[in-house]
Amino acid sequence: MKVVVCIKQTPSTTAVLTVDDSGHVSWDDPGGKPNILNPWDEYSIEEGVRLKENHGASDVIALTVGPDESKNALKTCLAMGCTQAELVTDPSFEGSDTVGTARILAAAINNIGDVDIALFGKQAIDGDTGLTPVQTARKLGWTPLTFVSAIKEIGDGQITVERLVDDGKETVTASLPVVINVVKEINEPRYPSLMGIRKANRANIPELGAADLSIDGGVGSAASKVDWSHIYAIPPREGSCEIIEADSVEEQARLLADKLFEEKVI
Amino acid sequence: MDFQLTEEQREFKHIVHDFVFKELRPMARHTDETGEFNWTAVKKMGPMGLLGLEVPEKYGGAELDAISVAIAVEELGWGCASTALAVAAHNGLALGPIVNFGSEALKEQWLPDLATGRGKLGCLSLTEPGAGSDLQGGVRTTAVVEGDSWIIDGAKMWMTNASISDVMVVLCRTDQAGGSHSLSHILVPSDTPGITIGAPEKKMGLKGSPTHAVTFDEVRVPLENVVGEVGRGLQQTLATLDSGRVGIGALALGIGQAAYEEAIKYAEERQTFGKTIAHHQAIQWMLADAATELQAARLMVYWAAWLRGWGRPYTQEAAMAKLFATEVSERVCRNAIQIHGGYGYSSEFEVERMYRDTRLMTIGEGTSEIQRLVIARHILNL
Repeated sequence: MKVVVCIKQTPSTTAVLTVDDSGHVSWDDPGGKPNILNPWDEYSIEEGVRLKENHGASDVIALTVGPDESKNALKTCLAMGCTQAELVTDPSFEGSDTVGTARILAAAINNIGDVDIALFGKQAIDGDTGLTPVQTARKLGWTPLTFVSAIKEIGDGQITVERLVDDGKETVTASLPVVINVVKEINEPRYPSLMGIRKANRANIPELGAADLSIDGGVGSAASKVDWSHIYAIPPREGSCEIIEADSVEEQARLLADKLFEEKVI
Repeated sequence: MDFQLTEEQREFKHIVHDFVFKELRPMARHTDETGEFNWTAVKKMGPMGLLGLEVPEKYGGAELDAISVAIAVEELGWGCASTALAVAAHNGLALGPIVNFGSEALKEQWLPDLATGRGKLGCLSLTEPGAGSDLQGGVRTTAVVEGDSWIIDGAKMWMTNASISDVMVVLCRTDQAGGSHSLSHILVPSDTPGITIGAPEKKMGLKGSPTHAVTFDEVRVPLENVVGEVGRGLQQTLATLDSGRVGIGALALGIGQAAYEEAIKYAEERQTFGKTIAHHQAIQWMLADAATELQAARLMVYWAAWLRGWGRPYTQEAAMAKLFATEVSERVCRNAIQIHGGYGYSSEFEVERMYRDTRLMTIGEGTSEIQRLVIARHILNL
């Protein structure tokens, strides 16, 4: 069984973002690590590694589309136990919307070949769309299993999973290959090991471009349906502080309640 | 000359920091208040390699370089000094002698479980009621050969980790004639009949790191359990303590760094006379001194670790690093309380615990006075 885990490198959860007057966004992190593996993807990586440990998956391949810097996120995946990693990068991919990214991922998954399961995190903390998993399934022509909270059984070309839906849990069975996106209830991700980091630093991470994947159009900013026409910093919230003076706590509480009614807060 | 960490060392630092931030720091107060050992976090350290920092990979360890070890211990200390002390003692004091001097059979038998968290921790047993800094003349715990076994009798004190250990490396007198070749390290499984582990000592700080008095009453272990050579126990102990001192320096540095960060945070929040106290010069001076001294201490700890990593003599530098880093840590924690004012004295704020925790660092694994003695002997060729 071959498993691919599609991951993304995102700004750190503690990164401080700056937007300049021309709409250029940059960020830095007080902890010195501005970019990290998308936290939602830690769950899909963990599940991929468990498929290796518990279900005999032969390959667990971490895959990402992004600049060369994204290799650092792939190294984290290797340190957590993925068997291989692959970076898909090309100047023509820059500015892709989620459909474009799904097209690239589908081409890369087809290029790997014989993949049974493509795992995704629920969403990425930067774009926060949560669209790519399903769009990738559409491009591959595979069944999407979304919001998966447990993989119950794999065998005879089928997979049974538990999905977390609005009003409870739902158990569904589908034929392989499938695209799965996982929710955080599925597992507790392991920390990368120090031995794993050393191994990851020595690993050779292959890079593939548009030509390697025979991608000709439908990607990059030209094909994007999303228009980033105006990017600006969120204006700082303005507020004022008023201290209610009164002779007793009861009187202060009454005045506060009146004020809150007046302002239609309660 | 290169003052930069390698890419791998930076990555280690991030991983350990992230782990400590999520698993140790939020539990530090609970650990201190209840004295419960944080097994939940420590069990997660096994697969990461934090329980076998210098254990070769073939036994399941992380086989880290000396600077990475110092970084890991500093980060652990930053999050929870109690847990950090237990883990540092396990790695440096217990596994250190097994890795550096133990037979292949002992390594194969004990390291895989101890280094990966499948087992409990290890501890080193040196101090006795009448033997602290004076081990050569003071150790009264004896090990005598009887058939194919050592029979161990005696009493030890201040044994870090005893109640949470699978093994103890015990310093015993194996030659009644005395002298520098009369002591040996013997590995004793903690559940061997005849061992009595006393109740946890009541301490000022580090309450989540259990410390015990342990007695040995006709404790029988196989002759093969001697760690290293018979009669080399004192030399092995001194070598182990050299590296342990770098570790305690790193741990104290972590506590100091945490207190410094708390002090900065508070100074930027607390307002007096219409401005934050960070704008008052009296506070700025304390913070500037803390930043400077922590920086100097870090360089000294890394320098001693670097020497150790290259196999160069480092006894003097380890003593200097431990002396300076632990005293800096105590000063920084003291001033962090001062900056917090009355709140700093309250256990509602973290700095109170840090001050109590770091107080041991100038005592354990050689007091500041012993460090000065070691340094003086080196510089005066005594």
